[in-house]
Amino acid sequence: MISAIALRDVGKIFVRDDSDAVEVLEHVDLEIAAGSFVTLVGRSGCGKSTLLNIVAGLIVPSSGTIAFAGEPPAYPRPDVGYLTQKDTLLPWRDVLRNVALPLELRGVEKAAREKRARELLALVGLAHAERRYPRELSGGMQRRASLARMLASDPRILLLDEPFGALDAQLRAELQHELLRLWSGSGKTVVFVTHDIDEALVLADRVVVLQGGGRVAADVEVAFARPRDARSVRTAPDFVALHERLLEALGASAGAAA
Amino acid sequence: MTASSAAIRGRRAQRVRRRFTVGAGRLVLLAAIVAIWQWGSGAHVFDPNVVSSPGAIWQHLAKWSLDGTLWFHSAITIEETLLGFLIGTAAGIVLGFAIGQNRALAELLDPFILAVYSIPKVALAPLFIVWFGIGIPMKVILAAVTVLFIVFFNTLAGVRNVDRDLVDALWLMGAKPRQILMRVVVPSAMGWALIGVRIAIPYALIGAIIGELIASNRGIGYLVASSGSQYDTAGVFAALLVLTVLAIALNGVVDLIDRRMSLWKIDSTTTPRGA
Repeated sequence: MISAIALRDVGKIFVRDDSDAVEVLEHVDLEIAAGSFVTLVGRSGCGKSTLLNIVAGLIVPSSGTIAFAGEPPAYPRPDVGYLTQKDTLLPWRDVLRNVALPLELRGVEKAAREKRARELLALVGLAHAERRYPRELSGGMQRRASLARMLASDPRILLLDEPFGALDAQLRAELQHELLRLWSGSGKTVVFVTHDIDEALVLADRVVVLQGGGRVAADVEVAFARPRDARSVRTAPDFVALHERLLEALGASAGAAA
Repeated sequence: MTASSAAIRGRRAQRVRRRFTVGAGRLVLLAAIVAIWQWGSGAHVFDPNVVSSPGAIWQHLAKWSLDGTLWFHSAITIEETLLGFLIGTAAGIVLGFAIGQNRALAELLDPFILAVYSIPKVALAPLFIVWFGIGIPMKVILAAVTVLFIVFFNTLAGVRNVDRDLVDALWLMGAKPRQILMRVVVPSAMGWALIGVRIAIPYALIGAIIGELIASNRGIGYLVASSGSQYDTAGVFAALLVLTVLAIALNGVVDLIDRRMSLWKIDSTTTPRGA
């Protein structure tokens, strides 16, 4: 079976100046199966965001190769949606026009793109806010709008970089639930970066723990029945054991990084 | 709710009262200055040849306004100011975007731009007289050059301060360079450019007046200069008064723009939202 995303021996060195270079990623091998939901867990500075940036095409790797469905990458690729930690809604556009933006760039005519944007806003629970500007939205609503915008280009692959990190626990659980609802049955491939083991276990088919340098410290299948929610997952019999195992891998990776 | 709305009403009444008191105080102060001035020159406490008197200034203004002098010269100055402002603004914005978009060009031109920027624009007037004569074009160009640099530098700063993450976001969606320019760079830098435009408005008037003071036979600046050269203090004051009215009117325009721009200002402060 051909992977949706395959990273082979990927390395990234950031050169700060003539004497100083930081190797953020070294020899990363990672395959993501099409249609799967994979979370990458790691401490700050383990290179997980860099890895996502490389997949998205924002950063060119110093070494190694990346392939999408066996093909070498051509950027930019609208079939990859990227939800960054920071909201990048355009502040001078209202929510509707922000969500319609990917379609506008593609030349979809106004009526059609606004119709689609309204559907997406309804999907993420923002139908009432289409005429509001980003600054008038709460943090959670901004995330929802960003999510809707990402979905507007109907990407096959979703990259999410700690998308709910800045939200309170209640809201985070709510948005995790929404994300699962949007994803299930869509056939989309999701790569979700987080540092929160609970979040990783609630969401994913597979959790990959990254060490410093982006090397894989643990690679665990998560077989909890779907559809899931935070409650059913936490009370599942294997949850504690899995959580323990991931925590250990994360702890070991901290030791390796130090 | 009724308690809070009553409190709001109370505050509003207080504010209106305050504004009225301040306004009345200002009027009293103005009347006192004019009265003392008038009395002082009449009683020869001050030399009327040096400070003139409100009455004499008023007579001058009345005469100028009746024989058309006032309107003729004001129209000239307004024309120069507006033309200079429009030309300078347009050129400043276009240059700001053109140079800001091109990193290599910006780096290459940097010292030259700074050198020209550092020159007091007034000092360019003699050169402009040689090049463009002493007519209206010279004043328009002097005003335009002054405005151009202010608008240009603000636009350039705006283009350079465009949020990288927004540009990246559009690139990820597959936007072409032109689409990124029109949908991110222009709207985001426009807030800065407009701040430059707002600052530049009074400078357009300054440029035009300085041009008129240096060499001309028309305009409010000419009225000031020619009255001065004839030791006609009342004429100088009368011309200055007209200039003051013009400047206040321009400031009114600036305030109007300010109010229109408040949307942009909020935008530019909320854009860099941290994760």
